[in-house]
Amino acid sequence: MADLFTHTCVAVLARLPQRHARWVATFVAGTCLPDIARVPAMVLTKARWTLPEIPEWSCYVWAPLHLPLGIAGGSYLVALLFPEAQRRRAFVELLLGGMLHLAVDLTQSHFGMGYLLFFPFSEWDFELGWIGSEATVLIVPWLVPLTAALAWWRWGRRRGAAVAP
Amino acid sequence: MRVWAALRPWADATRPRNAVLAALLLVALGGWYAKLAMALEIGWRQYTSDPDRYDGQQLTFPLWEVTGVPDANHYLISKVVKDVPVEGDSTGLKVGDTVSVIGDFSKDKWAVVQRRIEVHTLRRWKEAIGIAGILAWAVATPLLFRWRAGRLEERRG
Repeated sequence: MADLFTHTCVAVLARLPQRHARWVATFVAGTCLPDIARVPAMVLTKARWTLPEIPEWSCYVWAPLHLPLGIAGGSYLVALLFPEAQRRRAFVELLLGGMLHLAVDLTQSHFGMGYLLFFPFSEWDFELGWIGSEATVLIVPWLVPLTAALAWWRWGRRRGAAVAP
Repeated sequence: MRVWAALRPWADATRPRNAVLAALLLVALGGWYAKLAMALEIGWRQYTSDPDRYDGQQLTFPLWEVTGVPDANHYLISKVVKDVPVEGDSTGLKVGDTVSVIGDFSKDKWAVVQRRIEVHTLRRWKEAIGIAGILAWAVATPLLFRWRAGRLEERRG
């Protein structure tokens, strides 16, 4: 998986054509959720080294939250937190953000299995393998300021002008 | 589609029920995945439980952490399983490094005989950026969203 900075930047860049910043935060939240949902698995995996009583299955159960059907389910759960009138739109934004996350991750290459895109219906795994799994480390230092500058130019500047007398 | 419409997925009136259904779906998916992962006949645990059957067969360890370097020809790696022994050149490896390894299980050596290794030299940077990203997200979320009348909203919405 790429890091959250890369995912956030890609999501913001994808929404730059939009004239206003409405729903961008929700879209970005959607793109971050699959990795946020993996934090317990990472913690449990390392905790098992010193606490072998932790069952192995507890490290695996979070994985579907990083796969399409789990992303859809997670997006729906989060969308339920939004007001009724916004719920459908929130779900779509979160889901699209999650799919963008997966698309970015698919560009990486790993030894072993790719992503089980059709889980639980198929165990076929896939990844494009275009970049190494750490390639984003070299991209982040310039991607973050570039994205922040472009987002400010696109949305922040207009907002400032709108409130100016 | 009729079932979907009957669930009234966006309505406040059905919100608690639908939340429970969605959570149950995720729990079921998680359980299914765990069952699948633990039954895969590609892991160290499976191979060592029936060494005669799996002797000489390939194992893959993507992004495992080096947890021991006993000598120049052996090292230990850990992820879900701790301290899997690998026979291979450990020159330059140190505890805490992240590696991906492809090798063959050897019943006699009770180890994975390394065929290919990739040392992920930027992994620590990636982990640091990952943690920073999570912290940044924790800070940004209350700035981008607000809780009003028991519901979540975008601040700029």
